[in-house]
Amino acid sequence: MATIQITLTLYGPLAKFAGGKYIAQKAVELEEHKTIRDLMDKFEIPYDQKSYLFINNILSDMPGLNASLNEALKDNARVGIFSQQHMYPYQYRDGLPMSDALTKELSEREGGAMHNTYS
Amino acid sequence: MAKQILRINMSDLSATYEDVPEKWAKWAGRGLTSLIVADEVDPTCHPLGPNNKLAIAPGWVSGSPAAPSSGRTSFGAKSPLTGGIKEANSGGLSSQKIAKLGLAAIIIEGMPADGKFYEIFVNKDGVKFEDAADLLGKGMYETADLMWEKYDNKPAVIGVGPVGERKLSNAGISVNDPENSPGRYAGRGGLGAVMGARGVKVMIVDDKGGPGVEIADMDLFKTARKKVADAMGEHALTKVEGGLWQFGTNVLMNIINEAGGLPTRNFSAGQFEGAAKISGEAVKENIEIRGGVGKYHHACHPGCIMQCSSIYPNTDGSKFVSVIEYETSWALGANCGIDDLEYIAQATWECNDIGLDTIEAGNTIAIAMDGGYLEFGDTEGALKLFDEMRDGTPLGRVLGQGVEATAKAFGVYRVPTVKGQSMPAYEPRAIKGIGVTYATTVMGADHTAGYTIAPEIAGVGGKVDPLDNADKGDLSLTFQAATAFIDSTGYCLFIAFPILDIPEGWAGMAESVAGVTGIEMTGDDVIAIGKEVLKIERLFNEAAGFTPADDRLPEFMRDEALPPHNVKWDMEDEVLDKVFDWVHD
Repeated sequence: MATIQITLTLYGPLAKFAGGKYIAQKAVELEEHKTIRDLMDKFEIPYDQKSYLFINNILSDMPGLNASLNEALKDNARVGIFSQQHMYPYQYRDGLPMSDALTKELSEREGGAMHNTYS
Repeated sequence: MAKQILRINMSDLSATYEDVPEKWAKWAGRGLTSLIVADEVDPTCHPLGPNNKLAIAPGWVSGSPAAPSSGRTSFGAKSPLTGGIKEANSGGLSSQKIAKLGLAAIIIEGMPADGKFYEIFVNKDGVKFEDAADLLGKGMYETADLMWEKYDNKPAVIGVGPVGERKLSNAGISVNDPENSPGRYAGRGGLGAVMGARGVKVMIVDDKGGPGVEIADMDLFKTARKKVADAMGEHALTKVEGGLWQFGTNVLMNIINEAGGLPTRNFSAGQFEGAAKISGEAVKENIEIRGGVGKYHHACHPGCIMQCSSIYPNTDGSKFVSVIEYETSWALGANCGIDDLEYIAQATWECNDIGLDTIEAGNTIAIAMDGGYLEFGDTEGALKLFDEMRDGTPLGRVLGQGVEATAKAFGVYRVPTVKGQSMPAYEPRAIKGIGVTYATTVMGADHTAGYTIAPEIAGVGGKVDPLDNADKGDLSLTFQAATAFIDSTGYCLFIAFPILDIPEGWAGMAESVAGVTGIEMTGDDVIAIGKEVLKIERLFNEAAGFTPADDRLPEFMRDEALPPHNVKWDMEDEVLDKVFDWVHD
């Protein structure tokens, strides 16, 4: 099976899942076609502890959502995962590039992208 | 006892107490300072001349018993940086103390005939003036220490550093915090120059024995106060152990960087490779390692329960500086290509001492770097620029005027300003929504001018499409109105985070104002009241000569694609022109 290399950065309390205190960055080798779900499972990161998640600088998930779990990772991808402690007020992400899956998820919710947390 | 206006005339060193005119009686904080400026300042006057005034006002709930996180003081004037109306607000000790003296506002007007600077002392017995010659040239750290040695009761110390004495357009107004550190600034817009031009080096406010704040309906106030406090205590961002409490505002550094919206090397990129080293996470790690007086979750004013401030220690655990905000770390760091947290701490200290707005100061240094005077990343060279500003050299005087003057001096085309004020730490090409607020607010590029309030909570309804440009004008207006209201309450703007998600908090904010003032008001009234403030400000700016052509982002943002997303600013002018087209209806 062919493999890919990605860079994973975990912020805040999530850093402990990759050996850090408040920030941990790791080069990770994965099998081709693996997803965010596989990556989080590999590091035993509970899905409900992630909040904002970026893949190659594209906002791909939000607190309380799981829009990114099925995103397939490509070689040289950069993944950044933030903890539930991280704030990202709406006006600082209004108009930001977002993944198709997150855009679809938010478009189906009342209030769209406005809130800081969803459930 | 009804509140009063304290009018201080620096031309004849007199002070008078006046009843609050009926027209002003409804207002506090930003609403009041903007109304005072609109009523009493000629929009066409020179900001440093005798016809400008500095209005200082606590918010509606400031000084009331245990209203959480309600220690903001509004400062208003015609801005020397933008040429328009300005309100900048600060934490620290001043708001609650002014309010507890029974004052709705302090107006400082006139200019000393003798050209001297003065120290003004305000307490329950009145106002005293003293020649401040001995304080001239001193930074705010020494000035604050001297004032607490001289005066009892740990008073508020409101002052200007050497840059304000020189009346330069990037001079802020410093307010001391509960430890008497001068790190709380009404920083933006050069209001320190307006204070300096009135001949005021420092104003001391001692509230001991003051009448306090009357509460019109204590039951309503208590119920509402609890709603606000509960929302703050419940929300993930503002609760104990939440994001602000843990990492301060600099929790945003990594997330904005991941988003590709972190302005880097004078707005030439949206991502900085050294962001993690200057982030809130890095600050907290150093605080924990160094120990001593270092502290995160520190309150900038009594009664703050969010406690987003911190005290950054030296390596030996002694106090270095408070506070390294996100915008500060970004402007002095990423935007200058600097990833050295110790430099940023030192540069923050310099700004606090000299009397500079950290955003404008960092952006100014970035302009000097872009213009070839220094290399990006040159910390040693950058620190020398603070010496130039402190010493008032010809170069320092140019730098002290901020980004636009410095860009002209160094022939730089990439000038990230709107209405003369430089942009904060959110790249509008990547984060388009905030660009609408940067462009259209009367304040000049300002990230705090349009804080988020969910449409359904604000009562405007509807669903937000994050990718639809057309929505962004209406949203920005709603946000700007909500912000104008919050800026009038005395509450910290960060209460917007919990009340975005918790409707009871939104209602509690308005009802607590009603409880203190007796003005009938609910959460449904907030946007309309905020729009009244915006209209006052917009009309002032129109009279000062501003037109819709001033509501634009700089040309280079339409021409240069911003990596990593390689996006340009493509918002239609028609969207921007609609934001304030209602003020003449």
